[in-house]
Amino acid sequence: MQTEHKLNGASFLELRKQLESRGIVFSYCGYLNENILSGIGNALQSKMAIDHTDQKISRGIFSTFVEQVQNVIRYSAETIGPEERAKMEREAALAEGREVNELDDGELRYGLITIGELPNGTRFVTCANLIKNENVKRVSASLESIRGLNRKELTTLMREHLKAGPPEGSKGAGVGFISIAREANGNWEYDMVPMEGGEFTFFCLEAYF
Amino acid sequence: MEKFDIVATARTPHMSFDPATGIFVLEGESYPEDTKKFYDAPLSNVYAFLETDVTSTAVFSFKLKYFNSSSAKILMDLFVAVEESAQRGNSFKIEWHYAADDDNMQELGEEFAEELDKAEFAMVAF
Repeated sequence: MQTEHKLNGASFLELRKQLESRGIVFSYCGYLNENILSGIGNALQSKMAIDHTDQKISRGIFSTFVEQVQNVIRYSAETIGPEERAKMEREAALAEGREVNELDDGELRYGLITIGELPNGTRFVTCANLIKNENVKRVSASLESIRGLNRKELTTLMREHLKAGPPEGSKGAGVGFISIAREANGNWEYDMVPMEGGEFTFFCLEAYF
Repeated sequence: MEKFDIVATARTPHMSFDPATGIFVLEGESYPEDTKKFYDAPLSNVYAFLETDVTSTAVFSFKLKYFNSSSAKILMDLFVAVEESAQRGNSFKIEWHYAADDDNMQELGEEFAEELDKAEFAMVAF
């Protein structure tokens, strides 16, 4: 491949140092699917086992990681659908003069996930993805409604929601946020950063252990 | 209404049921890629069983290490159906097994127990 680009190992190392300086041990930024969830989840469990992480903490971190990633896979607004993926693959194959590869029929959704430790020893699981501006109010309201609730209250709320069934537009049980808040004993934060262009918002959710 | 025995994978639990004995077992971790796809077909046998007149006490045993919130919905629906069957006069014993140091799984079991009245719900620490 002819290119003007020259690999700069030092700048790549800089990226790693930046992650490390924030205490980040695991990070993934890009398109996600269920296979990536399995793979990273597996590595995460192994790392926590090697580190002899307290069982309660490691269960909470793993469970939050799964719910967060499944939220991205279900709801990130930055997506490549199966038809679009197939079309892109056909065009690429044509351009390269090769046969069209078989793709699975899943969607890819873009998200950012980090897992790490703050200087005070608190672990964090952070997840971010784009959502459409029209959904900001609903997502914020749903998180504000569970702010300040303790573990017991969240467990009861989760049961009530499970029994009532998922709200309209939900692709899961509709209790993902409650489940994350519950695992983190109510220690979580979120932030919404409007993106340029006026269509999307960068939604971040962080749980502490 | 057929018996089944599904082997566990990294993301899905061991699940078995025999309508002749009324023994249902769910054991391991549950965060399937597609929760409905994993549970719907096998559990339709269990739901069919719940509609029948059960002659002896049916024992439903849960020994889960981890389940995600979509799986929690599957469990809730199942417990509601078991309770309805028990209300009609069928006899059930639900065993909720949890590791003695796993408060989380204990609390979840206690919460599900709130939904059950006629069906017996036993918490079993191991």
